[in-house]
Amino acid sequence: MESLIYDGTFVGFLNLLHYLETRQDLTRHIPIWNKRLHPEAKGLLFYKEIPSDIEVAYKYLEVLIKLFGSHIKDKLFLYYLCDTAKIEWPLLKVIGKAREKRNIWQDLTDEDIIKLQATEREFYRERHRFYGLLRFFQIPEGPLIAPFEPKFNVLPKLYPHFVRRFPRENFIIVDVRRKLVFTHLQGVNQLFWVDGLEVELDLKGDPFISLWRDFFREIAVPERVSFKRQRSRVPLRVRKFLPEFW
Amino acid sequence: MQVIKKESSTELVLKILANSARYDNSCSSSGGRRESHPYGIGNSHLAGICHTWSADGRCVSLLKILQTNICKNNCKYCICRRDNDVPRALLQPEELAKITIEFYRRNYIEGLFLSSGIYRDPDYTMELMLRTVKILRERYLFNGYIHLKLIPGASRELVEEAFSLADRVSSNLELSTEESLRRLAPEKSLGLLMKPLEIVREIYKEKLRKAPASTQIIIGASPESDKTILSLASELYQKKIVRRVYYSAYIPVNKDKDLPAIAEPPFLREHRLYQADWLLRFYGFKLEELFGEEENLPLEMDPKLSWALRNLDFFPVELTRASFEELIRVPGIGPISAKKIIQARRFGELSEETLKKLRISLKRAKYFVTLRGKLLYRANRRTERAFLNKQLALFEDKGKESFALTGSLWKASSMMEPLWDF
Ligand code: SF4
Repeated sequence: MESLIYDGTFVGFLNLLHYLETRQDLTRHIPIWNKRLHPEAKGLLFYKEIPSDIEVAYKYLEVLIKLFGSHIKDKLFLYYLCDTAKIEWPLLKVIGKAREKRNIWQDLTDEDIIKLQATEREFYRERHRFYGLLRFFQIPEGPLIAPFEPKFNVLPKLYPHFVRRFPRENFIIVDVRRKLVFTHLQGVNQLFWVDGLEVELDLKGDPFISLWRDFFREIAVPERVSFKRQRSRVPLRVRKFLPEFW
Repeated sequence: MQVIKKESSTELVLKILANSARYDNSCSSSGGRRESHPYGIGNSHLAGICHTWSADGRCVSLLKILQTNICKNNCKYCICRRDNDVPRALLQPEELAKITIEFYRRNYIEGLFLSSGIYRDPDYTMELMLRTVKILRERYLFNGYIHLKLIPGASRELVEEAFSLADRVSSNLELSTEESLRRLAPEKSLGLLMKPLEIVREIYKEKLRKAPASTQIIIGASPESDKTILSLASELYQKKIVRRVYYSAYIPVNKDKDLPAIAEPPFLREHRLYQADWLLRFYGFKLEELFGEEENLPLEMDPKLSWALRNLDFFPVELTRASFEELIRVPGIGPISAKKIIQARRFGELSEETLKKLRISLKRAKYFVTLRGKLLYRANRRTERAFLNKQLALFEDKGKESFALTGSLWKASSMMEPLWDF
């Protein structure tokens, strides 16, 4: 079976939706690959690469805005960020249904809306989780740096929180999985992809790590210890960059 | 008494003071609303943020620490009591402020939770704590979250100043009667512990809202019943003196003839009290509704289910018509599910299928609701019957049989009420 590959950008995502809408013959079983998350997908035998054509993306977006109002842009962007959720088909179905029934977006009984809303909630949960679980490491004589690997592409919606919180700090946040980087240096914000980012950082050299680890150990009440509860809150997948779990 | 001297490592001092602070449960960071200073650092987030979870599975949000664990008081349940021979330490305001900032910059914490033993006298201690907080607020222009413990006996001016600098303040009542305080914390009285909270209530401008203050009550160190404890809590809520009461299961750290000998800390009881407290604050329950003839909440089931089984004539609740207030009284349905049900009703007929799709679990609720007059469970199914029998058996042995025969809770209730004698 043919697979579809897009480049993992918002433009690519809009092109993908547009392509799927025009190809009525495709079924929801066709595999869709985001190249940024799955660079290995290029090795597939049969695949069609969706071009990231900015004109197509704009036109498609304009049509949708005319139909549903400008809020659709934000919705689509959000669903684009939920890049591991496999929601392209439910989204397309809702767009199709919304042409007939405008208030479909509020219809909590619709199966596809339920899926979209559940994904949305999960996205915001993931973002909220990293409000707390992101860790900055002090690079000697340099900025603070925070690597992380979120489930969804939350960085574009996460960084404003840290910009508000640390207006005077120089800091960098790196989504290691997607190779997406946010920098806040001398008050200037930038968000960009970096392909081929292979920097080795000595995160363990930060002098406050050991103090933090001491505090973390002492604050637990021995009579209440429950590693199960702890694991359910801090899943193993997020511990890689949490010095208290090293 | 071994006092850790100034030249000791920050690591050691921090360990001692974090260790002494860990039994305080009142440590959340929600409810703060402070924007960051353009030249400073930090803000506070309304929803509260957990930064990690410690080995006990509890959220770590704040740098919870004592300024000092040196204390002139001798509360029998407390690790810091005067008579205990434990290492003592004091963190200088400068140093503590610096650690707070460095932890905050790395996003380890949401802010500071600062408490203290009573060193020299209440005013001296409160001033020491205020110095720490002032360095943070004024020198570092720190607008992150700060929770300050108000030292009982501190002067009104210092309490006012603490309140103006912190996002939340608290004074732990610890025990809910004068009698128990006299026995276990001889230097304290309810009046003394309430005073700082009352000052805060007086000066808090938004009179219709609860003051941004909290308190903690220890469960199981003294003989008070759940009803006594919750009536104190409910009075504090009604008078808008605190936003939150925390309950802390008594964990023995000292030996004393006045302390109860317990095999295990009453964690389940603590949990039930939190559930009941939640019902008081968010579900519109009145204190009297939470108790039958007993003075304590049943441990075997949550207080809402217990209320439901004592009030079967309230059920079944018809899902297609019930109001929000009625829905949230159904065991297993909380505010989120109730809202979903109400919203879904606007878009067509509510069906079991829809409820499933909305991920509304009817595991417990199904015994208490109908959908267009239809029951949502079959009483002859073994598992369901087992569930109900188990719950009912807790109340009255005869109820078990009558239930199994009629197959419906409310029917059983109206037919067999005298047998149940709730
Ligand atoms: S006053 Fe506070 S710190 Fe001192 S012994 Fe009593 S509870 Fe412990």
